[in-house]
Amino acid sequence: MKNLKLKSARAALDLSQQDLAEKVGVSRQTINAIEKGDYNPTINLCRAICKVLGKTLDELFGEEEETC
Amino acid sequence: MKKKILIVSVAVVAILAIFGFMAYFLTDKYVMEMEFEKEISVVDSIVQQEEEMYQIEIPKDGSYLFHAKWETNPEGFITGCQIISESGEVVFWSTADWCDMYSNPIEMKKGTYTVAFFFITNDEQWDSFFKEAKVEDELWNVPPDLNYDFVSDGTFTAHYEFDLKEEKPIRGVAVVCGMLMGCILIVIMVALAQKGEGIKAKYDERQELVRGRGFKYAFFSMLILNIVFFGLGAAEVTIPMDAGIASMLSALLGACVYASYCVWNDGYFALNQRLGMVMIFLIIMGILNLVLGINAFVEGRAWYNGELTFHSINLFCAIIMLVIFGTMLLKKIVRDGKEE
Repeated sequence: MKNLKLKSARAALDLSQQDLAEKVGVSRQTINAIEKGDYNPTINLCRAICKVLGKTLDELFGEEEETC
Repeated sequence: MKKKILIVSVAVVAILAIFGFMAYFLTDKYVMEMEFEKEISVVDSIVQQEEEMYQIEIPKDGSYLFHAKWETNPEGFITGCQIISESGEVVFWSTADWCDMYSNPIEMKKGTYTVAFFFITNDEQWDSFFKEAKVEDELWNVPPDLNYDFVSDGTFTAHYEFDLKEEKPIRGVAVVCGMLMGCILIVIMVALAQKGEGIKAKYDERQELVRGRGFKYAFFSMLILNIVFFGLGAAEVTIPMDAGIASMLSALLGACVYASYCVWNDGYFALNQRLGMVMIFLIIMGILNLVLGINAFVEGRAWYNGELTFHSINLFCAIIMLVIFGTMLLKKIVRDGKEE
């Protein structure tokens, strides 16, 4: 399942996948895979992404039902 | 840290190169080469020509390597080759209808030796070749049992080549120097391909996962190929390759599966690697392996006597590089992986 929340949070800060990848220390393809729902990141990577995007874990990686 | 590694590596390579160069090129060696054509006539299983003999001067005591190659057209008799000292001692012998063989090191003293080629056209001559030369061998019966279809009447054209060269233990040192240089050059290449300090490749968690899966698939590929080889061996099916390349083939298959899986899933290149530099090294290695591999085939070393030999390994390495590039290209076409 695609992670559109992550994608929109990134876009809101005008960051490209490459920018976000460099800030959290992973490859662009890994960010792409997370956004496409092809890869479930570890909690450490989730926290790093949340920190860069200024969001909470729930806001970015919470279940759809909980966030609605 | 990285600078230190690079400086030390380059210094070691330079020292090895100088030492290897001196060992290989500046040490003198004795080499002689000879080749001849011979028309052989056989009437009632008796050869009509005398044996062929050549005298060679050995300049000093030492260890020498003998290489001989001969073939006849058509086949139908056996050539026996001996190297005989001045005192009549046979220091080397070999028999074959056709061959391309290399001797073990032969201890020879300064003086004159005779290289003799005997044309064996019947069983009696076969026995006398060994008896007259007083050849004894602890490993197998001499003369060995012969089951050969001699042609009793006919004319043959035979071509012979042989050479003798001094074995230089120091030349082995040169080879070791070359291998060490290769290893250190890899360290230098890896260091140059890494961004920033340090030479350790860094992968993110997804890449580590991909690489782990790649190892798993590579392992099972190797296992399956080994089982296939084992099964073919048990079924007495002859695989046209020698043991050396057969054992390396499963390792090469594993490397191929691992590399292509990692490339396809973006786990091959590390975060701190300069992609351009890595590509350049891969292209250089690919071309080098391709040239060496094709050369080995053209010279007949890679495919010999109806089977693949270890010399074909360079071509297989080039194929792996080709698979890596092919996977990259295919990935670019099928899954562009661009930002959405």
